[in-house]
Amino acid sequence: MNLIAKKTNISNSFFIFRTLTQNYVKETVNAHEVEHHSNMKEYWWNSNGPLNALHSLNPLRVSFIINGLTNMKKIETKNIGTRQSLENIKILDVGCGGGLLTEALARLDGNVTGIDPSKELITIANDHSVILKNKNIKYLNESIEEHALSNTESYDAIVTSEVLEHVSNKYGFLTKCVDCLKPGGSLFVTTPNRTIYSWLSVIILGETFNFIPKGTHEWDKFICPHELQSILEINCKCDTITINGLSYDPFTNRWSWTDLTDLSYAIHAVKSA
Amino acid sequence: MCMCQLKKMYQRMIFVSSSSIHLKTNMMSLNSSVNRLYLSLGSVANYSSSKKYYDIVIAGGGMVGCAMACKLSKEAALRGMSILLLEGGPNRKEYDLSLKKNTLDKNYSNRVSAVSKSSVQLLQSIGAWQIIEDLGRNNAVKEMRIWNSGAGRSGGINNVLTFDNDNDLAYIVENDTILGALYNQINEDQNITVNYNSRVNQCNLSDSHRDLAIVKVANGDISFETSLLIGSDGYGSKVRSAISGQQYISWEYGQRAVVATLHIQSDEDDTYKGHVAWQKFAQLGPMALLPLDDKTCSLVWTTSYEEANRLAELSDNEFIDALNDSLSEEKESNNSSLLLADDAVHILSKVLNKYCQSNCDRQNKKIKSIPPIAVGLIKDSRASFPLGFGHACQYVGQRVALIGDAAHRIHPLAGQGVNLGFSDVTELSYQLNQSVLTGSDIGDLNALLNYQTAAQRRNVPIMLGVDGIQKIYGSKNNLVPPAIITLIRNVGLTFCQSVSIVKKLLSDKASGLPI
Repeated sequence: MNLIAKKTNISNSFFIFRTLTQNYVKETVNAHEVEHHSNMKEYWWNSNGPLNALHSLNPLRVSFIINGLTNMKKIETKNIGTRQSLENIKILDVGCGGGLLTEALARLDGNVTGIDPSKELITIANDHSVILKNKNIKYLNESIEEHALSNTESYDAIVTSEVLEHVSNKYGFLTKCVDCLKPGGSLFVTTPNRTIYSWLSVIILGETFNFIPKGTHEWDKFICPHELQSILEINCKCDTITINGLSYDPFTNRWSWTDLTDLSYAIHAVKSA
Repeated sequence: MCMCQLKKMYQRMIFVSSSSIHLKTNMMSLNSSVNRLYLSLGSVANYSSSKKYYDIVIAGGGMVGCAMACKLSKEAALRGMSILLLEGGPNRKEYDLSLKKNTLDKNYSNRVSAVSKSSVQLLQSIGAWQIIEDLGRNNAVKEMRIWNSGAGRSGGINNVLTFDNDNDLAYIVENDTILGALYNQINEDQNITVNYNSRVNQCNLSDSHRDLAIVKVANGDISFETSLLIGSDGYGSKVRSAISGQQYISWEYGQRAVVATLHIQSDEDDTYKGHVAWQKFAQLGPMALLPLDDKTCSLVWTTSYEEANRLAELSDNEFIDALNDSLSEEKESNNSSLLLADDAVHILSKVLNKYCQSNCDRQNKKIKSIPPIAVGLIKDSRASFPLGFGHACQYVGQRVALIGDAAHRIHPLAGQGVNLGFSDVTELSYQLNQSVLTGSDIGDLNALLNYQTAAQRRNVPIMLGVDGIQKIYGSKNNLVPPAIITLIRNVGLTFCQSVSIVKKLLSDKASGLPI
C-alpha cells in the first residue's frame, strides 16, 4: 500500500492530465473495440481456442469474487463453500462478452445480469446459456450508461473483468458502474497493468505467439492500479479492500495469484454506505 | 409548498421515464427468454424423447466405479447432484455382507487386493473401511519378503529383499468385501441410482460445450444424458474408445495369473506370523502369497500360458505339489556362469553392507522362514486370467473422464492396480470439487485436464516401474544369457535391500502416500 501511495504521488500530475483529456470522450463504448470483440464470436466458447487464457482465468476471478463477498459478509453462512454460494446476490457483469464469467456466477446461484454493447456476443451468450437449468441469468445488449439509467443502486456486486483496458473513458465507465451499486456493494475489476512488463508479455509475446488474438489490446489504454484506485476512491467514493497481482503461465495455460501487480491485477472496492 | 410539489412532479417524471425504460428492458429479456425456450425446445427435438438426465453417469460398477460414486456424493460442493451408476453385471448376492458376518469358517474368495494406505484413506472418507474393519476382513501386511529364483551357493542371503515398517505396509482385502462395503454405502445414498445389467454400449461425446454426453446401454432402448460421463468400465472400456483423438498403448505379457486360496504352514516363531506377504521371482514369472489370516493365503501365480493350462488340468493335490516345488529352491544348476554371477553378487552385497549396515543383522534372522509350505487348497478357488499392459494417452475429453483400469492396466506383481484406480478417484473428485466451487460446469474440460495431468504424473512412473520389474524379473527371455539375467536380478534385489533410501522410496511409493 505504501508503494502504491508513493507511485500515486509521482504520477499524480500525469494522471490528472490523462483524466482531463479522457473526460472529453463521453462514450464508454468504442465502436472498433466492439467490432473486434464481435469477431471472436466463433471461438468464444472454445476452451482450447484463442481465448483459452480467458477460460483458465475463470476459477481465479470467481474465487476472488466469492472471497470478497464472503469478507463483506454478503454470503449467507450456510452457503459458504457450497454450490449455492451466491444465492440471493444480485450481480451485474459489465462487458460480459460471450458470458464466460456470467455463466459461472449464475451456476453458483447468483442472480446475474450480463450487459455488453456487442449484439453478436450477447447472441452467443444467450445461445450458450441454454445449458444452464433453473438459473437466474439475463443478458442485455446495452452499454453501462444505458443500463445505469434504470438500475441505480440496484446491485450487490458489479464485476467488470478484462474490460477496463478496452474502455477509453475509464472515469465515466467506473462512475456509471458504481452508480448501479447499492451502498456497501462490491465492485470487482480485473485488468492488465500498464508497465513495460505487461507491454512485453501482453502485446509483444502474447499477441505475436497467439496466446491472445492479435489487436485485442492497446497498451496505452491499460490502467495502473494506483490510477484505478484514485478514480475509485476520489471520484466514486469507494474504499479499496484488496489489490491482488495475477501471473500467467502460457505453457500450462494457468493463472496464479502473486504479490506483484506488474502483469495484471484484480481489485475489490466497496461503495461507501 | 410549491417547491415541494415541483419536486414531487419531477420525481414522478423520472419515475415514468425510468419505468418506460424498464418496460423496454423487460421486453428485451422476455424476447431473450423466448429465444432460449425456443433453443432448448430445438435441442430436445433433435433427439428421441426417452432420455433421462443425470448430472454424472459412471459406467462400470467395479471397485473403482463404486468408490467414485460414493466419493462424489460425499463431496461438499457436489452434494445433491444426481449420480447414475451403470453396472454391466447383475446384483450379486456376494455383495450382501450379512452373509459374511456370521460365518466362523471364513470362506475367502479367490480375488483379493492389496489395499495401500492412501486407498484406505479414501475408503475411510466414504465410510466403507469401517464396514470392512467391523467384518474383520482386512489383514494387515507388516512385512514383505521378496526373493529370486536360483538362490545358489550362498543360501539365498544375497537375493532377498524385505520391507517392513512400523506401520502396516498394506491390507489384504477380498474384492467382494470391498464391493460389498461400497454397495452398502451406495444403497444408503439417495443421490445415487444403480442400474444393474446395464453394460455401456455406445457413448456420444460432443466437442461442443453446449451438448451433453449421451450414453446408450446394450440391452435396452433407454439412453441417458449427462453433464459428465466417468468411464470405469475396465480395460476393454467402451468409454475410452469414444474419446476423440484417443491413443491406447497396450501389449499382452503372454502370461496368465493363476489365483487360488491356500492353507499354508508357516514358521511358528515368525514375529509377523499371518502378516507376511511373500513374493518369489520364479523363472516363468512372479508368484505372490498374500496373507488372509494365520493359516490362509491368497495365491497370485504369474506364469506362461502353457504352464497355466497345465496347472488348470491338475487335481488339487497335484497343484499343491507343483506349487511347493516352484516355491522352494529350484534344481541347483551346475552352470558355471550362473555360479559366477552368484559369487559376483555375494561380493557386491558384502561391499554394500559394509557401507550401509543398517539392517544386515535383522535380515539374516529372517531368512529361515522362507518359503512357506502350502498344505491345502480351498475347493473351487482356482482360476486364471490374462495379463497385459495398457495406457490411455488421454484420460479426459469434453464431458468425459476415465478412471481405473479403463485408463491404465498393469501387471499385478506390485499389487498396485486397484490402488492406482483409487487414487484416480481421489484426484478426480478433488478437481471436480474445485471446479464446481468456482462455478464451472461439472464436465468442464479445464478441470478434467487438471485431473489428467495430476493422475498421469503419478500413474505413469509407477506403470513404467512395474513394467520394468516385469521385464527384468517376470519373464523368460531367450535373447539374454540366463547368467546375466540372474546377475541383474540379484544385483537389483541386493542393491534395494542394502541401500535403505532406495528401499524407503519403494515402500513409500507402494503405499501411495505423498513422499
